[in-house]
Amino acid sequence: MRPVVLLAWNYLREQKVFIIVLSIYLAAGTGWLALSSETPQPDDLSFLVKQQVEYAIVFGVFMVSGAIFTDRRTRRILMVLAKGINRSQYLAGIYLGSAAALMGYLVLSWMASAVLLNRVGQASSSLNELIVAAAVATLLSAAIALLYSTMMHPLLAVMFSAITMTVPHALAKVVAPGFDAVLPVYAISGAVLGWEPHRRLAIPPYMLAIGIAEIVVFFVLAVITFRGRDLALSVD
Amino acid sequence: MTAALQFDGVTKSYKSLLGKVEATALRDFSLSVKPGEIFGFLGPNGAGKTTALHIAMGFVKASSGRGTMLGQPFGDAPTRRRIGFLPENIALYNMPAEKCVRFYGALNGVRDPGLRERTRALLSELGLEKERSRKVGKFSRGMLQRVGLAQALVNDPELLVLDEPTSALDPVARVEIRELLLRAKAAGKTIFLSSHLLSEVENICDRVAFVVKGQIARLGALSELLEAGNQVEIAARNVPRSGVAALRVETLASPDGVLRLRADKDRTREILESIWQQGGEVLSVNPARASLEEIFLELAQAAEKKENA
Repeated sequence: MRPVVLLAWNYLREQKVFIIVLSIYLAAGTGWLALSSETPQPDDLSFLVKQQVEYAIVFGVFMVSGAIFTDRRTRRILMVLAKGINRSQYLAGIYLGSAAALMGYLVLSWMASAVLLNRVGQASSSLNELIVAAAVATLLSAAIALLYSTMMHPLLAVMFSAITMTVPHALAKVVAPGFDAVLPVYAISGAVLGWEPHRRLAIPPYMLAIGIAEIVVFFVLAVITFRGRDLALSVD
Repeated sequence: MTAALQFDGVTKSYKSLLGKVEATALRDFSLSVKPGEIFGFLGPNGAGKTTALHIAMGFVKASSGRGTMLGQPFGDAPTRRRIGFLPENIALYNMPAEKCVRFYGALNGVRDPGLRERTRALLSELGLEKERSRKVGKFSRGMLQRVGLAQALVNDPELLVLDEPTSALDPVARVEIRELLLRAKAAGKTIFLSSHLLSEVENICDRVAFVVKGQIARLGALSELLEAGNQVEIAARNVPRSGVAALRVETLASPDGVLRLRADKDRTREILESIWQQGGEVLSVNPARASLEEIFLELAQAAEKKENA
């Protein structure tokens, strides 16, 4: 476990500029709205909260898609995997680091949202549900991106991740609504977009459970794929 | 005795997406490195040296064949804890040199306080004591190579796998690294050294393998390889020019005015007598030795001829 934590910490360190920019964005936005003399409209706030939470899902895909590629292109991966760690630990380190950054972002979003909703006197009881659901969708999207990033260029990994997340929803529309539960990123994302502070989040708990199970499945698939890759080859 | 590093009939082909073989880097490659020796791994660019190292480290999978490192199959993660590896292109995470070495040491399971002490001792030994707080991103290539060596040594490895460890170093630093490697050998460590710096290999290696086109072209103890067969080298002075021609032997370059001759062993007596008769003075008679450079060029040229044919 120690090498995984070390790699995750190192990954966070490498991503510090991105994390700082996100934190400033959240702090500045919240501060401006919280301290402005005009009280913001509840609908505007609700939109802002949903937007921030949706960003996490997108960030997850983009962050993870490029991580292995960067290490392979710079050949830093060779000096890491020359140590007494196996490839699954390396992937776990990257995933844990990304997850920590994304969860940090969601926690900050949750805090900012709670402050702002409180300011306009809106009940924020379902905010916790919103953040939990967004966390599952974010971690699942990151796991999907991790799988594709083990075998392709980051742009292709983003594209294939998006397709993978969209296909079940397209099938749900065309074939049967149940397909939304097969890979529930899109369904959760849709529920997040429809969220309102005074209403419960429209996502059944079993979908969240499926999402959590699929995080493990995609991670295992990523490990299996990555195990067979030749890492010393040029990736450009 | 278990070999420190062993390749058994390893072949590595690189294939296109459609499965067509695009290049074969290693062909039925077999090699055994004994524990405690410094083994030189030589060959022209593209010979397959780095591919062999990468297969041994588990970065690349062999198409066929197998091998072991410290008795365990290639790619075994726990075994890599007992190995120090320095790649040809050193790429480190951009952090202060000391943190960087500690990071790689910690990945290998080394813990404080031993890790801190060993990191500082290595940085000091490699001349980076004053630079330990500087980020490696600002280092010159030579300094990066030293940090690379420190991270390879931080776990006190049994086997060191070094790909061009001194290519970016100045002559003084090269001598220091050479001494460091000799100390490691004296401490019982095995060193597998891939290098283009033939003089370096000649100075420290016990055995050498030349790889050409993915196969071992020559392998043996350095002393055996450098013996130029049944010939002697004679150094003499004050031999008249006409007398040199009469000897009918190969003359070597002699910038210091000393006449150097290479001849078959069985003509030694005849040539010595001839030199004395002409009033010359014999300075030395030694078994002739080829340099690694000569062997390297000979093998590379032979491979080129074979390819052209």
